[in-house]
Amino acid sequence: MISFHNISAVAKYESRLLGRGWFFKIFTLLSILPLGITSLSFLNSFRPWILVAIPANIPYFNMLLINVGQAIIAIFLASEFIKRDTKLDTSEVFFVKPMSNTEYVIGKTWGSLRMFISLNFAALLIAFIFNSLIDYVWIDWGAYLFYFMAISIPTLVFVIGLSYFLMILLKNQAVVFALLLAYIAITLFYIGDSVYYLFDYMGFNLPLMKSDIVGHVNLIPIILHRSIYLFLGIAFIAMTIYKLPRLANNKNNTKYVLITAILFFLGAGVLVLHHISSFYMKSNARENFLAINNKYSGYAKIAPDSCFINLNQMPRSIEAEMVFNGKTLEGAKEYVFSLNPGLTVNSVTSKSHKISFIRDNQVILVAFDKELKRGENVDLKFNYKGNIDQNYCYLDVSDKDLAKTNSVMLFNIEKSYAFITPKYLLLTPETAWYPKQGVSYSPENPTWSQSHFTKYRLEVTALDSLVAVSQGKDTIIDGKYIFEPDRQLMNISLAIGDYEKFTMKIDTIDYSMWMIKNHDYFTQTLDSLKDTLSVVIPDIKGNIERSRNLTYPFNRFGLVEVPANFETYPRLWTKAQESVQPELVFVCERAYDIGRADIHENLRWMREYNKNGWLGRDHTDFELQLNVLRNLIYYFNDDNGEYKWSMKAGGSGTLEVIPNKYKIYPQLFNFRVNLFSSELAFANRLLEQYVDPDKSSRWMRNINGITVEEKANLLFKESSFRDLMYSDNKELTNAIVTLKSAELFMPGELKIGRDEFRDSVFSYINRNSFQNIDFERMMLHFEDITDWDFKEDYSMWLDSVYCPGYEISEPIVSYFNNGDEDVYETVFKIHNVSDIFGMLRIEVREQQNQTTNDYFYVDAGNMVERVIITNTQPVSFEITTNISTNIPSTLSFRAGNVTTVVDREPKVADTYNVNNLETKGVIIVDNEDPGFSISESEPIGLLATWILKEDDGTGLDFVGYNIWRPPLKWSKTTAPRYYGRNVRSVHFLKSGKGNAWAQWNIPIEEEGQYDLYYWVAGYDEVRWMRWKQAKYQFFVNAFGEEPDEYTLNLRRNDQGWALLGTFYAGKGDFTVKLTNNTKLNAVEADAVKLVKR
Amino acid sequence: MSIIIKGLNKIYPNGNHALKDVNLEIPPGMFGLLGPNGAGKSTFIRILVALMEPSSGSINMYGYDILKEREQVRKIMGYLPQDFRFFAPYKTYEFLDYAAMLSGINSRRERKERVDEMLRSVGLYEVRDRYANKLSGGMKRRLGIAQALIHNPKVIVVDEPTTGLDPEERIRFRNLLTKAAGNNVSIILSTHIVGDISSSCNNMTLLNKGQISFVGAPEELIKKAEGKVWRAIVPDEIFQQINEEYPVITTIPVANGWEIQVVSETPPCEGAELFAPNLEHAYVYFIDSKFDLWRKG
Repeated sequence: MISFHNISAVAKYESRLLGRGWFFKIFTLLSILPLGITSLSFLNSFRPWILVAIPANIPYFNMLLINVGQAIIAIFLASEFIKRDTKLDTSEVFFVKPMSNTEYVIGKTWGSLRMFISLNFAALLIAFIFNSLIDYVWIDWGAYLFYFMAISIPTLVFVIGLSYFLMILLKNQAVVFALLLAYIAITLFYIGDSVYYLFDYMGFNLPLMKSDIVGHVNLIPIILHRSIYLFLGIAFIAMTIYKLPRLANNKNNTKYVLITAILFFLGAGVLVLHHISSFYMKSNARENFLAINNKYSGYAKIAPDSCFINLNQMPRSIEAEMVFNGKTLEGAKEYVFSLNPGLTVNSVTSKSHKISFIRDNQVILVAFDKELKRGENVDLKFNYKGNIDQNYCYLDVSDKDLAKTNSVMLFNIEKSYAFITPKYLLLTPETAWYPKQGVSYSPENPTWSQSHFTKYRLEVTALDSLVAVSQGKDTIIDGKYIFEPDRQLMNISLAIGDYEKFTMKIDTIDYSMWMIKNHDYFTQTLDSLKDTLSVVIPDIKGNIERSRNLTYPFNRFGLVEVPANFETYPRLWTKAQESVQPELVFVCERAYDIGRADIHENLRWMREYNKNGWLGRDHTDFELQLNVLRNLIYYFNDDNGEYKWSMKAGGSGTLEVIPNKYKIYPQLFNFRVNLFSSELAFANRLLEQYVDPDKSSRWMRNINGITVEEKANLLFKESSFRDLMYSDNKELTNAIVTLKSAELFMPGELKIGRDEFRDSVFSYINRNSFQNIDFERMMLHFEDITDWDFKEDYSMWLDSVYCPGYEISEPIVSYFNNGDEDVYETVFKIHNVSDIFGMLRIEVREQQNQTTNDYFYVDAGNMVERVIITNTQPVSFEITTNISTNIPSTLSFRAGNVTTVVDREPKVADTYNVNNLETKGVIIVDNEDPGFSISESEPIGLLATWILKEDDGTGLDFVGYNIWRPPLKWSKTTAPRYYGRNVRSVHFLKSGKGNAWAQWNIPIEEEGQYDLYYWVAGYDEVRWMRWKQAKYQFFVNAFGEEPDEYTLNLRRNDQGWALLGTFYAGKGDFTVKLTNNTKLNAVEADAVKLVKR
Repeated sequence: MSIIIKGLNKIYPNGNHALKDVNLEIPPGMFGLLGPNGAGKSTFIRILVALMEPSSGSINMYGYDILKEREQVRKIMGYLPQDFRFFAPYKTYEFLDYAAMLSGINSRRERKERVDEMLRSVGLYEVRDRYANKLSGGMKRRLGIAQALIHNPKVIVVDEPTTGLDPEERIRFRNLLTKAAGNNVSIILSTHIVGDISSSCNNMTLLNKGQISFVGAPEELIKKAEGKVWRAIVPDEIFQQINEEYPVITTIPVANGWEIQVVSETPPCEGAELFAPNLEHAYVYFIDSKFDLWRKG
């Protein structure tokens, strides 16, 4: 029998020892103090909105932080216990006491645990105090217990057990400590959430955030995951008992201890297998769903005219009936529908007659008795019930993206796409909660994407007193909600929750907000605005409509609060995410993911700024509140949400722009335009991108070394659009579609002018709103109005592999006084260096903010002069090379000096063939040319090499430029300021003592006197760090003898060619070598030029 | 009741045969375990206190088999190890309280009374709140014996308890042990200091090279050395010669050379006279290797 007295005796004195140790005292101080200070500072300055928006996050935050610290300290302290027992002879007197080994080790473990537990309680107390001091945040007591149990306890038991066991095994505290620290570092910084969080013993990456609406959506996997480490910890502790260097009281006990250890190891193993297999099963299920979609995508479909759904909410399921009316799109006996595989179809009837059907996972294959004709009217009634299988959602999203943790700061959020709980329900179209014609995503057949505007009607019986929210006019009859959208929709969604509704009718639109009861945190804060909303909201609406050139087409607009776990993904074929639906936007719990939604904090700071006079003039509180509200509302018009930065070892990093999932643009465009192509699942997207192109974030070049558009461009060198359409890299695919969209419509712009063509596109959209449009028919319409042969270009655009490239000279601007009017002639020399023709656009920015767009073709291999004539002085030019090998793909030029010309007439605006771009006697060797070479890089550490091998899959070798941490090996980056014929790149390297070099070999064919120039790029580091000496060391060899040393002071030279010296050079190679011997952080190797005198 | 040891052997993994067929019965009272360094005393003690397993043999301790009933054995045993200097940061009182708790004194009140009583009896009550590490060497030993006695054990094993203590502390310590032995308790005192045995043990054994050389009362051991101890006054040259051949127990410089006491079967030199042996002489007679060789040779 185990004696609890002995255990508590050992524990009592073990914890006393721990408490007396300096190590623990310092750790306590270092962990509790910063937590206290952080909490205090959050009370008084900007704090993460997510922390207070969801109350459970307050204990979550503190537990996460303290857990990392205690995981490290526990290793040391636990291994110390074994060391102490072997080191101190006085320990032997306890070893001869009658306690069992089990009691002793458990006592020690409990002693350590309870000290850490008291530390955890202190952290939770701090959380509680912080929690109590914020008046619009309540205390989620359950979360305090949950995070303590889920994060701290398994971590401690595992770490203590592992440390004990390793110490018993290795008998060397330093080795154990080093091993375990390395293990922690690897799991924390490298493995992270890989292998489905399997190695995340601290729960640092595990999605543990608790929604206030639905709690934890996937509690069982979390409990099982934490049990893995709890079991392993117990197993290691049992192994420690087994291996303890003290004779056991009873040999049989030792056997039992070993059996216990084995059982817990086995238990952990079973849980690991279960954990991994559950993810594999998900993946397999998705593969299966995709295969089924592919299999049935070619089956006949019925285009819906109306769908009437009657749904009963059950505690953990739904029961529903859908009456479907439509017309067959082709003659057949069997027609395909799809419905979430978690929902069971009880019956399919037509005019009270049972219709046979085959259910194959998500597919319902309705088999009529006889073959129906094309266009025949069909009535069907589906009766079904069940739950939602979320594996069916987002079949277009890669497993990798699905598995990626949704993290905001330290908070990890379990993703969920549907909710059916006794207190809450959310069903969006992605869940396929009602039968739909055809199949969902199928990469093998673009026809899956065909949608139809349909008349919907939804009747809902909600549980208890819950409130149902959907599209359309809502009425409640006998407790039943009836929704009747007055527009035809492509889909309908439903939310049921304990909502309270805030509503206001302004003009013809009902503006509503459904918040979960007690979640309102803003009405009191923005109390001054209540009476002015009727003016403010239409004003904002008008601004958004004008900026988008489209009107809001619905009679209702609503924001609906949904659980924090509700996750959506950007799609390849639309900018709309599931969070935005016709008339409704599903906003996650208290808008935790929108910083601007922290009304209190933002208003507090506004008041602070106003008090300090930083807002220009004194604002009234009303104005300040208005600013805060406007700022929040305009977020719904922003294209981009957050930026995600990830750091690679060695200092380089990548930045990803996350599209704003709440952007309401789809309500202006996507839910009114339904473009369909039998060849392109992206048809709607192409038009959407043309109407509302994604903004290129060129500054991202500084971080990524190249823009995503340029990456996409370069892919066209080897693949056609059709090949690249379904890339796993969503950001890249998006860029590909954007480029192809611009290219598709550019001939139209060329034919009738950019503004005119765009106007005709918007006019077409307005005329065809809420209608199903055929893509080919639309393009033929534009063909008619622009006299452009769309069909001829289309097949090349879709299937050919081509990617032109251009060398473009600096512009020469001349002024002519032509009697009454001023004439400015701008000449660009352009060489199409590829074997395919290409189209370019030059945007000329003139004085008084006027812009002119000039479009033209350059044939393969041609060198041309493009002449642009304007009547006002051009200020700058932007040349868009579209799909091309040019990096940057869009080049900016300043107009520079304007020469007044009197001896000739200005040329006529057109394209003229020329013979060459460069002046005779000028030889330029760029870092992209074959004459350029670099020294071998010195080997870097194995670990760094291993970690640095990350690849984005594009095979492009450009890196971002961080002047604080330049690369240790020669690397390439791009920027407009660098010299380049069609790729403006530079090689750069961390500075050194001259041990690395870059060399240009310039072939000299004609002996003579030459001026040698080096391209100075206007280096950031030179500009920003004025105190630094900015000199480059060159060795020039003109005759193949000993090279001469030259120094170039970068500060004395502006961007452009800087003279290095004059040399007499004979025939053969003239070499210029640049070393890394500079005081700057990095050295850049770009281009050299020889000009014959 | 007593401790019965039969056929005890211990062979270490490196082949060192530390104990060779030890057979012994230890009655209640003070029992001395005498032997030179490396004789196997510590191995014997560690086996006796269940810190080590023998290779073969058995020990029955007051009716309990030490190999099979360790828990019972540990309940009736107190142990003071040889080195008792380095402590975890416990206070004197806490150390005893911890030992008392682990010895099965569950009642807090009883434990407090017992700890206070022990502290008083070993003269540490005044320093009960001092960290054990801060106690003097003698105090540490007293604390050691206090923890060994805290639960009134039947068997107390003390390993080299007086090493390094000053005479006053040594006497104090011996008295503590003697007092404890009065209560029908077996106290096994392992030492290489003959004086500790002679002044406190009624029974003893001599352990040499892992084997029992002698078992009995110290007087019996002394008796066995009668006629084997010689005293002589010798010049320097003779002294050197004797010192090489025989174990010389004492050497006192005198006017014309050295007064020496020698253990020998025969007179070691001319003019040597028999001398009444004490325990030390007897111990040397039994243990000294030179003598052993000489004796065998």
